[in-house]
Formats: sequence, C-alpha cells, structure tokens
Amino acid sequence: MIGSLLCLTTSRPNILFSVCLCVRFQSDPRESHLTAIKRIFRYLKGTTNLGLLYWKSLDYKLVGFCDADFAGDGIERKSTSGNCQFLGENLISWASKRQTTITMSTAEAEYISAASCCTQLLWMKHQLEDYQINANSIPIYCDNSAAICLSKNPILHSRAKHIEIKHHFIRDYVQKGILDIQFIDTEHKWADIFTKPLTVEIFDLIKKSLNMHFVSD
Amino acid sequence: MDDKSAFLNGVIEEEVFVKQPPGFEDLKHPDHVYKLKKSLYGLKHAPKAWYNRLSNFLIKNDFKRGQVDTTLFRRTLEKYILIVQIYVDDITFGSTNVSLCKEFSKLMQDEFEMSMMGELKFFLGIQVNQFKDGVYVHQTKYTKELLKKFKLEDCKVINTPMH
Repeated sequence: MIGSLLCLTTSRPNILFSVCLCVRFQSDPRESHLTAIKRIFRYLKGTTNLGLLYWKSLDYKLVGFCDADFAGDGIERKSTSGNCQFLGENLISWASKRQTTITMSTAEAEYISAASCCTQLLWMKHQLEDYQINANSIPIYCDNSAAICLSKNPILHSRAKHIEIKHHFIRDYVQKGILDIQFIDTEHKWADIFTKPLTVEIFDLIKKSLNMHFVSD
Repeated sequence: MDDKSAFLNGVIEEEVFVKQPPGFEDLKHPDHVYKLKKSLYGLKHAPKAWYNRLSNFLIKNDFKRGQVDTTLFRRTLEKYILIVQIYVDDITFGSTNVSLCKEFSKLMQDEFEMSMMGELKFFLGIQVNQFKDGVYVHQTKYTKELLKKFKLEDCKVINTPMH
C-alpha cells in the first residue's frame, strides 16, 4: 500500500509528508499505522483529480523554500527537513526527509534543511545550464533568522561549533553569491507542508500556492 | 513517440555468442554457435548498446547532449530550440517551432521503427493535460485504480491526509 502511495507523490506533493511518515514504520507496522494509511486514502478519495498545474511562462527564476520541524520525530527525536523549489511560479521539485543527525536547536535543524535545499538548487542550476539558462544569487527562503546568520557569518560559535562539516556546505555558496538566503514570514512558508501535519485552512492555502488544482476534463 | 523494438537496434562491440535456438538447429554442425552482430533483448549489453546507437545518431544530427541529464538532447536552429528527452524507448520532444518537430519525427521514423503517438497525454504513468495557458500533470487514473484495488471506494471523505 505504501509503495503505491509513494508512486502518487510524483504528482501530489501535498501527501508527501504523511506518506513519508508512514514509510518509517514499515519494518514494524502496527494497526495504528494502517489506520493512518487509510486516512491518506480517505483524503485521496475526495481529491482523485487533483493535479499540478504548470503555467506557460518565460520566467525562469529559481527559488527555494526550506523548513524544518525541530525534533518532529517523537521516537528518535530527529528533526524533519522539507524543501521545495520553484521555477518562476511553477513548482518543480519537493522533498521531505528526516534528518540523519539529532540537532540541539531549531536553528541547527533549519540550517541543515537549508543546506539540503541548497544541494538540490545547485543541481537544478547545472541542469538549467543545459537549456542555456544561467541562474545566479538564487534566493532560498528560510523562516529562522539564526540559521540565516549562521550561513552568512563564517565564524565558530560555542553553540554551533559541533555542527558537522557537511552541513556547512551552504556557507561557501552564500559567500560566492550563488545562493542568497533570505528571511520569510510565517504566512508564506510553503515548505511547511513537507514537515508537519497542518490544519485544513493552512493545508489548502499551501496546496493552492504549490499550484495544485482540480483537473477538469 | 515510441520505438517498437528498441533493443534490437543496438550494435554491440564485444564478441557475444548464442546457442542455436531450439527447433532451428543446423543438422550438419550441431555444436556450432552464432556470433551476434546486433544486440538482443535480455542481453546485458542491450540497454547500453541502444543508448549509444541513439545518442550517436542524435549527436550526428546536430543535437547536443545535456551535461547533467545525459538523456536530454537539445538542438538550436536560429532562435528556435528543439528539446528531446529519452526514456529507454519512449521519446518525448518539444519545440518552439512546429516545423522542427515535424522534421525530427520524420528523421526518427526514417532511421528507426518508430510510432508517433501525437500530443503528450501519458508519460511514465503520469497523465498530462495540455491547454492554452499551461499544462496539468496528474494521476487521476492511478488514484482511482488504487482506491479500487484496496477496496476503499466507498470510504468517507476527509479533507487532510493527517492530523
């Protein structure tokens, strides 16, 4: 059942988080997990014809959004990172992943999430060069100012010196000016949908912002 | 468009021999084997041989291979571009100029045994609806099949996947 739901996430970013959460319990599934999966199916039942919309446009600006849910995993206390990337106004890539390291603060969790968003954006930048489109100072929107400062200021702090080197990857690119990390207010955090369960109002709002609409035949 | 017998088109460079197929043995030389000139389905070399054949053909015809995605080919002609994306034997292509598309489709049909499917409707399990201002990408058919498969067609509808 989970495998088939994973297939569905290719055109439905909005169920990605809930499906990924269920995937983690596959090695030792319980009845409660089946109920959770059935809930996803109940949601699908109401939205069978939901699809992603790509507008025709000449806007090739890359934008990344990232978010993290600090210690969102109740068992291992690991955080979840979520990110999505837009090309112009069209959503082209999204991800939700439990982080491999346990973090000590929200800033650290957001920082790691921004770093993974950065890797994806860099890959896209290279890919766009195949189409003769050059992207520079790509904005990444992050909602944690401490994480933004961490990436802009390459000094070692007592509270951040334990962060693994691989996560500092982003600093280099911010300094070179390839990436531009910016603050975003809570109302425009589209990556929220990839890190936590949301209420109906916010869920539908983000769904709309990700360009997900009902397809009419 | 779709290639009918993609892997049979590949040319192999290594020496590969096959046994005589049952029912077609040569009575005079029953212990002889065949040397392959082209690739066969089930052969380990087959996908690579096909890819080499196709990519060499495209590059010979003014296409440029993508640096990141090596299954993407691009051809620029004046201000128009033609983009070709291959997935084994499924080929999707698009262009800013209709005549480039037609030219490409003819080129491919002359070289390989291709069938044209027309406008993109279904690719790798994803449905595509095109309209004037954009494109819809969805999996309506697959979702319906899933609900049927797990006998959840009559379940109560809920508005979020998780709470």
